[in-house]
Amino acid sequence: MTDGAPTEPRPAPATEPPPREALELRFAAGDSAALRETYDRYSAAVYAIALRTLGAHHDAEDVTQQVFVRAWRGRDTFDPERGTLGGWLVGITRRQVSDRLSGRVRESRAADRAGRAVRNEPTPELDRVVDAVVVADELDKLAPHVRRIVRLAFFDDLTHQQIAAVTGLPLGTVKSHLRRGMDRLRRGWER
Amino acid sequence: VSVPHADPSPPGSHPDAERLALAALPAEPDDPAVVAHLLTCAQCREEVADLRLVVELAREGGASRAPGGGVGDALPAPPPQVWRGIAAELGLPGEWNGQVGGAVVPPVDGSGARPSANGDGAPPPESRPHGGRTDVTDIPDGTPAGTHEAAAARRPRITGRRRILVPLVTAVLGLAAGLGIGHAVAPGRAPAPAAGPVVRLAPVGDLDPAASGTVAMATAGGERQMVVQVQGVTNIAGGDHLEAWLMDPTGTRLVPLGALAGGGGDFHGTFAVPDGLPFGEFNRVDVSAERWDGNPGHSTLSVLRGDI
Repeated sequence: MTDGAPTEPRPAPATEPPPREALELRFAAGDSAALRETYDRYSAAVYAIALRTLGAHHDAEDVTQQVFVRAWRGRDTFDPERGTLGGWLVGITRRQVSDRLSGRVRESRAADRAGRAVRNEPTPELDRVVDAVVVADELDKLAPHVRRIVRLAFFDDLTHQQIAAVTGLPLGTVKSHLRRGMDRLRRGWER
Repeated sequence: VSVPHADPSPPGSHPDAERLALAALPAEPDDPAVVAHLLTCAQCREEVADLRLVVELAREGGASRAPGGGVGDALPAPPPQVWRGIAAELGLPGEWNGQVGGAVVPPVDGSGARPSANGDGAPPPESRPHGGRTDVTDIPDGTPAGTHEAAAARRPRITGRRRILVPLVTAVLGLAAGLGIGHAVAPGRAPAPAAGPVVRLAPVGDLDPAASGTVAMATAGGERQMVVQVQGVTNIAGGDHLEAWLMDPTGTRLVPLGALAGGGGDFHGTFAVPDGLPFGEFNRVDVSAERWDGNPGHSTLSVLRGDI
């Protein structure tokens, strides 16, 4: 759901509102204001992916910085026609995280050979972390009234009838908001 | 329904999309018709499995289960030195070498420190390669209070605190207590004469599209104040009252200002602004619809917002 592969063809007509595409075009065109907007939009997700996989704040901060630095320097290679900016940034984040994780493995092997304690920190699977972070990010971005209903269903374990009672909304509205919200989360950063 | 059909997906016989969504939710009781259909329809089984995965991912995705579901459940933003590092490494032009929206509200009376070193006063990342690791002990001794450098040096301490991943509701309480704000100045007092920069508040979403408002900086008795005035809020989005907040650009970190008083669509609040309040980080004013439910978190129902 968060395939950042640049070769992935973009599914037919975008159903998303245009601002995100406008941002992507401006980013690709080298507008530095677009870099800051991109950072505001995606840095929390990049940081969360790095933090959850690497488990160290300084590494996560460093990865986040490197992801946006590399993205900006490599913006010529970002093609808005071939994927979303979010998916592309996730691809860069994956590589940064993987590099660091394999660096740690090398370090721990070296430590092993040297007879020292091996660092053995279980790291959650990268793909799963990426998917979870993207869903969490999209959840934050849902319209407030939809988000509230989705949260009540997901986290407070309420039925749609209970949600209707709590919110005072008609059952049909609750059901359609739930479906709409879940579709949006499932779509993630695809188009 | 009692007769299973042989064809795995005959058109027109599938439960509608909303019933399939309910089947994926943790608390919904089984819908016998849907359950029976899923036994025979691989396509709908796959659909429900996909939606269940979304629920699972959401539940493990850091969206905490804090009561009330405040903004605090959002993914935390990286600390501000990350952006400063990016801007420095890329040599971005000055206007982008700081917080977006650039302007910092200056003190109206000209005394006291600027509230935040807004990029321009921050040391380059080379001096703090992993800025967040800098501790309060790194603050240079003897830096005169009230200077740019002092404002910059104060940042790491706040950053250090923020690096601990705590539920945001707690973090907000801590910040509010630490900064000593969250109390309206003399409730009921008429708004002080406004001076200084004015922020225009614009409606967020469709909660109260006719709403408008302003935030102005004023000085009273040598103390800086922030004056929030709001008009045309007729709905309050089902809440009991309005509350004003400072928010960072990602909308994930908040400093509460306090409840607004008023009625008939017009509300106001005047809040003391302590020296050192980092407007550079919390450069957005948010007005939300809240209930008197004892929950200190943001309801996520933002009515108005404006950038400082």
